[in-house]
Amino acid sequence: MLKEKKEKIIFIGVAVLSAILILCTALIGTKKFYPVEVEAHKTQILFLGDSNIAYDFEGKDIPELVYDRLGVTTYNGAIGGTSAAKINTENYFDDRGDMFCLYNITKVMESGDHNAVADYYGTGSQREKEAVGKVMMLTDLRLEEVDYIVLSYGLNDYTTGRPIYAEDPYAEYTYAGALRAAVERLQKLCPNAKIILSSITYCVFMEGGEVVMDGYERNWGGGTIEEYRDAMKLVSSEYENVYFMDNLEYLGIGRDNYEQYLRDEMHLNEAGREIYVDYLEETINGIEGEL
Amino acid sequence: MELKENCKDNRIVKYLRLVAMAVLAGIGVVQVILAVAWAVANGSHIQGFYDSSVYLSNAINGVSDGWRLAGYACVIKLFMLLKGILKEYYVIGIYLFQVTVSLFCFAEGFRCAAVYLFDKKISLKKALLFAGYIVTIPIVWQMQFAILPDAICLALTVLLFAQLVKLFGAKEGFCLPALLVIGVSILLLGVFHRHYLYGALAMAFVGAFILLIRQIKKSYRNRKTLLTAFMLLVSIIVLPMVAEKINQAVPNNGAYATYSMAADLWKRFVFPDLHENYPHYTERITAILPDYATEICDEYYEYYMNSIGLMIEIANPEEAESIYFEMARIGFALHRRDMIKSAVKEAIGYCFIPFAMEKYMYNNGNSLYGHNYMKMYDCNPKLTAVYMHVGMNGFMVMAVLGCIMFLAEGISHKNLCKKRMLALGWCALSIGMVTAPMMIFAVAKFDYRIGLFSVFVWIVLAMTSIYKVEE
Repeated sequence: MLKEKKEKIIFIGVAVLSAILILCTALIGTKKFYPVEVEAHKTQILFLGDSNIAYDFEGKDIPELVYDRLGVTTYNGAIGGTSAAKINTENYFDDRGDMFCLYNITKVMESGDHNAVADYYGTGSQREKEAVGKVMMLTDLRLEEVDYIVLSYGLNDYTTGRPIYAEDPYAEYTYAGALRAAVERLQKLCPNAKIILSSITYCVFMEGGEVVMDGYERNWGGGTIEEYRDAMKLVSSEYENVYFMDNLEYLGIGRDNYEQYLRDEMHLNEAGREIYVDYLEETINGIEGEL
Repeated sequence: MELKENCKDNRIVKYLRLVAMAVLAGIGVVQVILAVAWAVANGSHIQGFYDSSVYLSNAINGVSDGWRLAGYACVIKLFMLLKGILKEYYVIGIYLFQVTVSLFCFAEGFRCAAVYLFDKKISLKKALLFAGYIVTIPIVWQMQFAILPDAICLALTVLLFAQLVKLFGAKEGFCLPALLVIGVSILLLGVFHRHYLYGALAMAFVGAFILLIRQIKKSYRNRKTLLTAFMLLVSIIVLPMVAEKINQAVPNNGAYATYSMAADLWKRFVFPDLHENYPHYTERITAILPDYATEICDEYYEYYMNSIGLMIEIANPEEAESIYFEMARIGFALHRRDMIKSAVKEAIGYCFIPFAMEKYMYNNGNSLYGHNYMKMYDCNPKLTAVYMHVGMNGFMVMAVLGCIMFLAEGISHKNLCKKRMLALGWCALSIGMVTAPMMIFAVAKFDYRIGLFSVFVWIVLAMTSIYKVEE
């Protein structure tokens, strides 16, 4: 009898210990490999977006300019070539840029497991390696401490003709659906953060060095830049603590002055980034003033 | 045959076994809870695999494309008939069906392995408990909740494996029910998934061969064993032909090039180097296939058979198959070293899957782990991350414990050593036979969907080593 009782105690003890230990291994999966250093008492702004935010081209990128201007901590999680919406296909090999679209990135952030994308591009290009690096940063951030999240998407959705709306308001292959899904996911992950939806910026299309159309005129299948802007504005109006930057209206870039602010058909140059940061500063001050 | 009196555990083995069973119980309970939670969170969501959308479309239209066979589309169609009552929740019916089939097949697989390979008697009821652990291993569970034939095909393959093992241990080497189940499994695999069928045929062929060799070595000829071997060989030849006739009877939607093994080789031997290989193609190929068409092919694998493959077939239907083969041959010739290196690496990964999964979960590696994982965590990324890590780490722990117990039992029961080594050999061979065809006809990246049978064998070996027969 004693023998059986002893065996039962060993069995139960080892079973409970195993259960606890195996649960702990989940923490390894979501372990912060590269904990991001945070300066105490500084406002933290996370940027997610496309190449206009991701790259500095010449000079400083937008998050760096914001850091200089406002003295805040900024994180550049933007990845060039990405859209908000997923491609509407479940191809065996998704388009590489699509892996890092806003819809997917916020899911990776929620899982806290950067290996969802890291091993997929084990031998990818330099751009992909940089993207994986950004994802590692995003999964290592203490998201609950982020104060602002700026979502700057639209150009790639527009130029690849991603649909804006669908019957399902959360359809991840639509611009509006992907934005809604991302906003809700980010609000759960960062309950204290204010989310700023930063609209598509002006763009032109050239042939033989001459502008033939601009974004207000050209429709790549999903709509014009105005329609994408309106969709983002609509989404921003549906949520508390979500604000909107109307870059088409405010930045004042048009057909007559695009050369002043764009380095090519669609990317902001140094001057363009400066006015963008002006607008962002004004937006943030407005939000702080409200609060 | 139960464990004999003189094969009782010594003290060390006894306590090792107790600890191993306790670990299995602890890990198993956590895994099952997380699996159920994940399933509830998944609900009627359809994971975003490309093939799922094609199967659904085929089911709706009552067609096949020659690549994704009609058998699974029929299963979907049956449940679609309940759409009027269940609306979009009919998919839950499919998932529950897959789980049920898997549970019973895994239980039978575990029971047969325990009884016939390791001489450990176990009831079906107890085997179901162990099967509950196996089916809730995350990568196995994911397939139960996917609109893919993988779950059912794995279950059928396990069932076939179980029946072969039963034949090896059967009195006079003959068991009609086992032969019937093998036949039905081969037929069903033939209409569900070609690659699983190839593995099943290989297993049945080798099984027949083993039975014949055993007969040749014995001093007397047992007619029933010879009959078994003969029936297996006939099944291998006749049943795939019957299955192919059924496949051909289903209307083809014409969206893809005609299936052939040569075309199927493209995934490994042509992708993703089609554009790079283009200058080396013969005129016969370049006359039909323009260079610009190959430019985006390394981005979209699926672009091949419903675009490029069709283009070739329409231009030259008589020689299409030989053109596909020529392109695969040129691809292999140009990248032989890398392809062999990659294949060896993948093969090692599939054979030692408990450790390979650890590598891909925690380390960068060029695989499809991320691709499959992202499909799985669509509904609840956080819960899925916890479940995946807990489950796969638990699987590795059980594999290690199983190895330890296997060795410990081998050392303490030396008289059973030879039989256990033969059993291990058969299991290893089975992994190779089932996995190799899937690997050859897949892209050159580790894909844990291909390693599911290996997962089953590993965990069955572990659990049969750990399991103690009641005295």
